Amino acid sequence: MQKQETDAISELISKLGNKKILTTKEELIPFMKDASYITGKLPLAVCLPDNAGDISTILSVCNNYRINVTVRSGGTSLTGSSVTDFNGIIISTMNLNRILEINTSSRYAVCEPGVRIDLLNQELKKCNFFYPPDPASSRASTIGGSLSTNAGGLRAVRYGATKEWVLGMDVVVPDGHIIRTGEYTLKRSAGYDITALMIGSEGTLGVVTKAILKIEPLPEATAKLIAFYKDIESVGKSMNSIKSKGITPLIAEFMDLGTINSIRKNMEIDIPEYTQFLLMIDVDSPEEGLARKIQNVKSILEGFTDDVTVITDQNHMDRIYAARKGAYSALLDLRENNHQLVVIGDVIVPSSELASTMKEIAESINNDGMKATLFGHIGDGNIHANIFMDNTDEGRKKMEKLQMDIARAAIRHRGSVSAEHGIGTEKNRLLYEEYLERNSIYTLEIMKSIKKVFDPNNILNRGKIFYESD
Amino acid sequence: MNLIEEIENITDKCISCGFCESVCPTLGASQYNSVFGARGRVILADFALKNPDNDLELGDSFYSCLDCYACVNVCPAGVNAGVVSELMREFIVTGERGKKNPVAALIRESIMEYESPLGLKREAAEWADGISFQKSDTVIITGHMYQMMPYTRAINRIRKHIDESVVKNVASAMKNHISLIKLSRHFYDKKLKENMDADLRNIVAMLKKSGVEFGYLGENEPYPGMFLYDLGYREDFREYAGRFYNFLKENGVRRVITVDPHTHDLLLNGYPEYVPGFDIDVVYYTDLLDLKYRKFNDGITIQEPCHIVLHNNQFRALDILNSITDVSMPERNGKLNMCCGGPDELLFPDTAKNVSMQRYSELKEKSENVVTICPLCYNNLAYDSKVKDFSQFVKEMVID
Repeated sequence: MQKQETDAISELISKLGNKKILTTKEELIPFMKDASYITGKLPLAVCLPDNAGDISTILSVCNNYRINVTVRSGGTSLTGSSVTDFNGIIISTMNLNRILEINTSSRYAVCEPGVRIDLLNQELKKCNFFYPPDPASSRASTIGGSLSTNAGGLRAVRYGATKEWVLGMDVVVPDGHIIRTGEYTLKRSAGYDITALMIGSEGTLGVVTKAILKIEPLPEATAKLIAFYKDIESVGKSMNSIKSKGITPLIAEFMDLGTINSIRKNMEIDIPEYTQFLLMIDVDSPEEGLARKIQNVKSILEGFTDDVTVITDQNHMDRIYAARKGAYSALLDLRENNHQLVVIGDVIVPSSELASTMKEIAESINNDGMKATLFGHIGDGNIHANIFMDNTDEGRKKMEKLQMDIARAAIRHRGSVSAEHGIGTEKNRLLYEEYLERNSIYTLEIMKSIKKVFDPNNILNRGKIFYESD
Repeated sequence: MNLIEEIENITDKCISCGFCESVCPTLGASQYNSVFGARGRVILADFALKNPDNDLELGDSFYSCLDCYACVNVCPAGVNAGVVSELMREFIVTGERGKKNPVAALIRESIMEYESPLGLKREAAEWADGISFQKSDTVIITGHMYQMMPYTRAINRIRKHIDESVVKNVASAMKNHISLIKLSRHFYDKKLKENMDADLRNIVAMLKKSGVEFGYLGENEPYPGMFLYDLGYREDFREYAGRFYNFLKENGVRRVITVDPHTHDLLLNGYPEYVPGFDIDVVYYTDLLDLKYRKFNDGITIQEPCHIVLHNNQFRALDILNSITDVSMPERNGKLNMCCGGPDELLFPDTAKNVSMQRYSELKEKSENVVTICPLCYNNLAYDSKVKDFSQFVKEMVID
């Protein structure tokens, strides 16, 4: 460790106490991993602040000593956002985990970044409300992390991604200042929208310490329809048909056979032998209209397949929902050996482009000779290709080529390289490719200029979004 | 498969998604220091095995795991971080890597020498003074769990005033003078001892009233070796369990009635694995109760024992409680049950206390009246007199 690093850590310990600053190797090792396949460097220290003042102190000290800082909460990033590629410290916001206020008449909840999304919803459910953004990792992922990646999730088809649900926040910027963006109001037209800028900035501009979130009343009655298909075109046509008829489902998910097999047991449903894909549609309605809504959607689905299963038992629906949310982790069971890694992609295209894009993705997987499974949020055009990568240099190169091929397919179809996982360190090149293809590299330059305004010494989440070598 | 392969077989399945951390009781209780959470333990184990040159202090992470198995019930990949901790403790005990925990080593020494983690003998049987038992091939096995609680509470009261490093140094020194462990006999919480002794007497009274015939081995009843098993001394446990089994056979025992979930789980699932030909029937006392009860109108909530609900065992306790009163289940129940923190009481009293306080407030959200079905749960959650052990609560409801 260099002298300035040792001095910075000593100062942090003297200001925050040694219980909030972890320095032993065994305590630091767990912070080298998140939910991505990327292993980060061993941090110099991990800080466990429990209030905004602590975070201000940490950033101020690190800014003075030019120590790199990586911010982390639930550690569920799929793009390496919560680990560090640089020598530096990690701040975990998990001890800022209070729900500060729930106001159902003004429709907002205020909470700290370490609150897990499912826990927030558990509390909101007590007042018949919920917070709609619903990443598959919601059991473990937090408000802080989901704001930083503009997380989407299963319900985005109806409610959109996180950016639609944040009214304001408190943020500590790298020099230690604590700033407020936005307010408690549903509308606000008062200068630049810094709240919007912070969402999806992956912790490169500041550390969120409090968020004011919009909330919604819970749907009254819901049902799940599952349809089975031999080909992806019919899945796409089913979805387009549902949306064209003015129905916006609560959830609209598709899975290929590989994904189905990984969670088949947990879904507890009969799956016809011919199945190569399934489509999972959740609908909602006032209690008295639910049967009619189910019938409407079922009729549409039956135009493209012979087999549609309807589930109305809430417990069974919950189990299927949980199984789908665990699909990424469950795919590990399909690895050919223990050294294979599963890398999850995250492209998005307009819904109408989905079937043709999927076909091209399947061809790329085939041409590149890789094993991959597909699932995703078909209602909003988000496709997750899960690539089984041999953990070797050659395996990594092959995976990166396939990622690029899939990204290019999405770009060709007016889509993007990242829908909801963010860029992290994993998709720097894909982001560049997207703007290059759009002939708009200058957009990236503007982003870098914004980063400089917030973080002139470039200490915060280095290497995230924009490529930077160590 | 050797021990390292066995551990890697589990850790290699982990994608580090962090779902387990959302239910791991020790993580929040340790201010989110990840090494005290389920995912951190799996990552640390994986790192330690793949980087054998590192001189890591492995012990605390794995010893602090409560073995509640909450993690496996939410893991989409079926990884049991609790089993990783158990195997890593076994690995640490081999001395290949990591330092042994001196307190754990002291407990091991005491069990092997005195057949009791705290060197208790006569003290473990005092509760039965004045009770007559039958001669029977069925015996009640207390597992010493109810009896130990007053002693661990008193010891922890002293520990609060001593730095942890001093505790470890004292434990190291005592290991070489193991008879000093008997000093524990003089330190106990008097009121808790009265409660725990009364609970055991209640259990016996209810069993007798149900017409069950059984004996008791008194101060000769050995401790069943739970700590050896839990702290990773599996080879010692193998030998010790054999001794325990032979003792039961010599005394003509064919069936045992267990009174706490930890001993029950160990005898039912642990012993058959370690004792060849283990042929003793194991039954939980609640399953033998055949009594009439009065109604309790105020309603209760319950702390389910992890060693029953999360370790896939079963008992009738909940049916009995449902027949007496309205049971409001806590938010986290069944397969998502939250541990009381009890298993950490001896080695990590602060963690145990933080876990128990969180669980206590969760239970109190559901009902003022809390019923526990395990002496560890009672000891950790009885912050007020409305928390009662099953044996006390049900005994009060029995129609004479």
